[in-house]
Amino acid sequence: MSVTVRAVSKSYNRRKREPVAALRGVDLDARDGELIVVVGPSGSGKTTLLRCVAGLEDPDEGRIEVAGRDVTDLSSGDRDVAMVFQEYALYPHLSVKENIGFGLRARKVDASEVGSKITGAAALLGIEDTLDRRPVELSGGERQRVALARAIVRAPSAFLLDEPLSNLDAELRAYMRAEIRGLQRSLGTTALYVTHDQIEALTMGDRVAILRGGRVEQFGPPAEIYDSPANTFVARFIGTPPMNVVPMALLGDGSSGFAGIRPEDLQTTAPAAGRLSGRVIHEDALGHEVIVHVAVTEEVLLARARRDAAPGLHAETGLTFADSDVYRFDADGKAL
Amino acid sequence: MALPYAIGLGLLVALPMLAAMALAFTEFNSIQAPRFTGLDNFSRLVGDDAFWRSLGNSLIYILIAVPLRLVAAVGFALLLHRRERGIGAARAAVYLPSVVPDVAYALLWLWLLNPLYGPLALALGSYSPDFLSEPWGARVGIAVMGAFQVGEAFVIALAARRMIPGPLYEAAAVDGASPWFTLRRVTLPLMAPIMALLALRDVILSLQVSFVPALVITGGGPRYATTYLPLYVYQSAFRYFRFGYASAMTISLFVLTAVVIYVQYRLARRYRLI
Repeated sequence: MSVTVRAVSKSYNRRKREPVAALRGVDLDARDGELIVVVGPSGSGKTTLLRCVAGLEDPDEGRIEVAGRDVTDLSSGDRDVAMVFQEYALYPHLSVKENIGFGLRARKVDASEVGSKITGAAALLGIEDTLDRRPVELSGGERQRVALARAIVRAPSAFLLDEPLSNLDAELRAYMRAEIRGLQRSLGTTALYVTHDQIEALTMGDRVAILRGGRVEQFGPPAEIYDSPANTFVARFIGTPPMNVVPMALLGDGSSGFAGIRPEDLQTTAPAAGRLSGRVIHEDALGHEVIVHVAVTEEVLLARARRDAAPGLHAETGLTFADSDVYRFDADGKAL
Repeated sequence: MALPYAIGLGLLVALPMLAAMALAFTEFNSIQAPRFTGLDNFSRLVGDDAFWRSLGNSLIYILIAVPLRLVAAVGFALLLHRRERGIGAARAAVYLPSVVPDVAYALLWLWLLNPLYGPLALALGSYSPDFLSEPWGARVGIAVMGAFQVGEAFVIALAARRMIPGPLYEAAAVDGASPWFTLRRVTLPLMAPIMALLALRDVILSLQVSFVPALVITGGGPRYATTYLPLYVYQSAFRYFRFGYASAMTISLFVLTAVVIYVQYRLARRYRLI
């Protein structure tokens, strides 16, 4: 079941001030069975987009389709979507069993069917032992699973996930990334997944949409986003550490655009041997490697170095790179 | 810092309470000195039909007024919880009757329910019932009066409603729950602990707030239908100058209130409302 967003715009009115445009003509499509990750910084409109698809916000313009049906004017409950909220939104006074079955009971599904569906969803997520407990008695990871079970039990046309892993610790987050992705694949349900975490974007999505200021900056497979960023914003947003984007002039090129080099494509060397040289002003020691911050004239470039090969703080160092590793952008920041 | 409050509490609450407890064992008419009579006042209470009748009236009042006031407070809270234009004025309108002095409020209702020239009579014309001249009409009328003075309970219920996280309602909407389903399965259960506390509080209040309307509007009639226990205490003390007997009734009222509160508390604990 596909999900299509066509030219959706949404603004919020503020008292005595100019309206804020949260979405500006967003186009997006998720094919049947795809997991589309919508990523962007805070305020980029990604949650607003998800809420418009869910029917929790009304777009000012545009159209939304779920499973080929225009749902733009339909209420949330009639869109055949299921949502997993950032804070899980579990009903604190209901047991896990009652939380999972809430939507089925609301839709007056036959009681005999409700029980088997709840058991099936709970088994899929490994939470059979928690069915009689209340949310307050569960860990963060267990609550996450209950929220997922509540979504899958209705077998909707699409899942909408709003930063579902943001409240989990790093280790659990890594585990749940794989779990959610595996679950979505096995169910074959189309999913829209909102996150601010680029690692989730690159590892989970079939395609990734990067939002900034309510607009889609780039939409494509993770590898394409990483290898061919459409502009300097995408180039800097995707990749850890972020890509170095500097004026072309720094590389001795007379053109007026920008050059991008990923930290992993910059090697530290002796000052005289480098194409660029500067002073190390900061180091981030990450155990197996060091991220060195090198001040080159007025710019600061980041480079990865092996721990035993790092120049050292305040040391002068040279930086080398291959021309093939340089990304070129015009004066407006668009990829050339 | 607490000293002024403690002094006030002592002088205005503790001392009169102790005095009342002492007077309950005496015969005192405020002219002669109190005469110790042991448990005579309490044994007289047992055989006093007027006492049991007024106690029954008070319990009837509680049974009618408490649910009515709770429904009104929670109902207004559910209607007025959103942040919208004009909501402040609406909330103020709900709260306003609570700040009107009790006597003025009672006189207002006396006019409203007047069978000859009250607005209700003029609106209903020949179909206008004379509430206050019928026992049950008067009982219900006084209970309904109290249903509009729910300012404090409304504010508490409003806070309880607003404390329910918005995402729960969004989750219910996406799950396809109707507004009625959401009210039954989400809103009311989550507000239940506060509603239990409001009911607890209202039972205590109901034993007191019935006094002014009964005194001003019906005088305890018709045929003693609205002679509630506080009014009977007042009449015994200040009309019949039987302060000792009135004090004994006050002690009984205190014990009755404590018993009712305890029963409610145990029920609320049993059903995990508090």
